[in-house]
Amino acid sequence: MARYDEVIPPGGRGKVTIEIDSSRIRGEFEKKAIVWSNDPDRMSVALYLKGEVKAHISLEPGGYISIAGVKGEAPPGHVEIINNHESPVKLTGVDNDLPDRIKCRIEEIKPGFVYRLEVEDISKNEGHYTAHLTIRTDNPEKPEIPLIVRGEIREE
Amino acid sequence: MTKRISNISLCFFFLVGVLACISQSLAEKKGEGPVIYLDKTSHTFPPVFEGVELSHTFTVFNRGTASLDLKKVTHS
Repeated sequence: MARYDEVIPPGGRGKVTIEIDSSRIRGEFEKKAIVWSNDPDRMSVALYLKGEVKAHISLEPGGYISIAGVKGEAPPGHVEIINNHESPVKLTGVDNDLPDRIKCRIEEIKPGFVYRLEVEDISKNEGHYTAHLTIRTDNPEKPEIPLIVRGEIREE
Repeated sequence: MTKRISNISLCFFFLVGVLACISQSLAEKKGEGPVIYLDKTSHTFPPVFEGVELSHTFTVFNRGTASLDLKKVTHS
């Protein structure tokens, strides 16, 4: 989003303010804005903005787990939950919308900073499913972290 | 012979004079109308956590003799 002075008198100065919503950006970014004016020799001027946006808490390798295999033998999936702040974070729980299909277990790797979430298939029947997990934390900036689990379970 | 050299010299100085006038006229014309100038066209934000609103203001100067109209700002 941009705000700007529409008219600048001869010899005067004005402002062009560029705003960036970092909630949709992760990692390093580079943005370009172009100012269009009535200067006949320089109708457009490019502005460049660079930076880096860090996640409060990140999931490695990502916010998705896939479990596939024979019923009762499918290998569990897992993600690491990494706290990128300098102060520790507590995981207060995991909400699971398919408790008859999957079971979750959290292990502390580096207390307050690195956790491992293991997801095990407990399906009684074959079939495909998509479960939505919500990892709850005591970080007010990031109280919930969504995680999707896709399962593909077959009979022997 | 001397007259011919004198004529050539006169032509040369006349040509130089004409070129100087054209050059000055162009220079004056360039300053006419609006002239946009920015002393900085890039900015690097320090690293931030997600959710922080990032904002930066650039200063735009009008070094011309007429109003500078900023028509729009597009971004990618």
